[in-house]
Amino acid sequence: MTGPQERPRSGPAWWATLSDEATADEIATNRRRERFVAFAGVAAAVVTGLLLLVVAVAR
Amino acid sequence: MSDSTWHAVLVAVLVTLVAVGLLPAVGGVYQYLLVPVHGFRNHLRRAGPYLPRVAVVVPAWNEGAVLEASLERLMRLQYPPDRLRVFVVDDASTDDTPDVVRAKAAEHPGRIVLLRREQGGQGKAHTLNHGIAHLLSDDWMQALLIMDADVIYRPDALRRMTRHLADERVGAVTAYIREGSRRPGAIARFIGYEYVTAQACARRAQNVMGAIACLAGGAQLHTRANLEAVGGRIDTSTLAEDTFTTFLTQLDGRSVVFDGQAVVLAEEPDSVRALWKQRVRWARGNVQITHRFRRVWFRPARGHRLGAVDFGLVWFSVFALPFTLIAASVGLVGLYFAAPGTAAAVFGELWWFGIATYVFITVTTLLVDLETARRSWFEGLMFPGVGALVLVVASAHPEFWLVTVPGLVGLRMSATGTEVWTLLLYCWPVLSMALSRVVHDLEGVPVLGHLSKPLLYVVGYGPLLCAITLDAYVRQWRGTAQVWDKTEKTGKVAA
Repeated sequence: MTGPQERPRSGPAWWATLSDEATADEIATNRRRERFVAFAGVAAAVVTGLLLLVVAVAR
Repeated sequence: MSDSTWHAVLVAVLVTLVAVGLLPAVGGVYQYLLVPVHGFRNHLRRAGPYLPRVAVVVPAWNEGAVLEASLERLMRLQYPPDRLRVFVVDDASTDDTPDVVRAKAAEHPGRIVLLRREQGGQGKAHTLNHGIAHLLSDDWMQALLIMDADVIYRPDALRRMTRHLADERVGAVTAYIREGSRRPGAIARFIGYEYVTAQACARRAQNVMGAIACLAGGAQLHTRANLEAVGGRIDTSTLAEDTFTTFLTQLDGRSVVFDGQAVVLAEEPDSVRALWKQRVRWARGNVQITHRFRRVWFRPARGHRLGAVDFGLVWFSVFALPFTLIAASVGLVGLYFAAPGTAAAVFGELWWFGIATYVFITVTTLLVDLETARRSWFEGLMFPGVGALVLVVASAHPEFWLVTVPGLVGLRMSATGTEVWTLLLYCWPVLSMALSRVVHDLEGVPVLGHLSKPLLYVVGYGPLLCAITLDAYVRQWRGTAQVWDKTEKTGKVAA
């Protein structure tokens, strides 16, 4: 458990310590966060497909 | 050849012109299809803890209003203080720029240095070179960060850039410049959205392609080795010195990386006139780059990806945009007179293309940067302009504007009205560019000036950029004098 005086071992405050361990943790977190753009692309493709379907049916 | 053969040839040419008009959208969609790939294929897997000694060069000409905040934020970067020095190159300012820098240097002894050019006005590249020559005279600097005086780095931005230099193949890194005005007006909100498309999305796609079009002028980090390899100076012969350096770096076999999570805030112009001035310079710079590197395009080579077909397609999709819009209009209007049935068929068959391009690109852009989307979602939706959206609806439902809408108010469109409406739709790509100039000219005019902003939403920000680009091409072709026009900044970035 993290004590009240201990720095958290993850998150921006920990990364700001600039230790190699903290920087590596920040990189790993950013890598995971970057996967959001995959979600964005897939979500946009789904919305586009659905809208095309609706318009095609309504035409 | 018989008349019918000539007619068939004419129709084929006109249909081809319409098809040419679609090419930029194909290039755009291609880039956007690569954006999700970046979620799994990016340079972060090769990044590592690396905090080199970074010299920051800030070119400044009359930047007194914005420098204090920028320097203060640089001093607060989460980066080892003994590995960060800032060099402000004052390009013979006539305001209080030197005083502001001296005051800051006194607060942070040894960490902020003022370099003054007594004779200035030659442009940013010359100013940068003055600073770079000073920095290369000793071996303290391991990496060079070139930035603009008005940009604000988020505390974690620099270290998120340097981590990529742990990979020795990387020559330079760029960050995501986000529009960051405290209270953005309509133009700044449009620019905010544009930067998500042109940077957060397009640069990610270019990371996947392995070729970056441009290191952002306000956030370019070079290794010392790269700087020395490209000649130890910035090219001064073009108006796009940042793109020039980006190309040289990659042609020399080193890669350039964009990190979308290293965020830098910038104040952007909030008037059409200021935007026009800034973008004419950028577009003329791109013409010069396209010409200077003419032996690179579409010639795949070992060691770099600038000559790859997909990168060329993307580059020329943007470069040729004004011409392709003109081609589309000429094609459709020509078909209307030469073969009205074919015109209607071509226009009607493209309904899915217009909708798919608009929805896919808009939704992706809004999702990629939710912070900007909160400020600029309306400008995102209106990016192509109300006119272009009317066009898309007309393509999908030809009866909607001709029957349904007039019917709502008990009217019926006459045959002449239908003809005029149809021609108006077919002309819109060109008409929207012409009206963009009206938006520009109306701005600031007493009373009528109030119409400028609403008209911008009708015309669209995209067509406005095309009109500016076309103007830049004409100026370049005519050989109009190259002027380094500084964009006025007021220091209203949300620091």
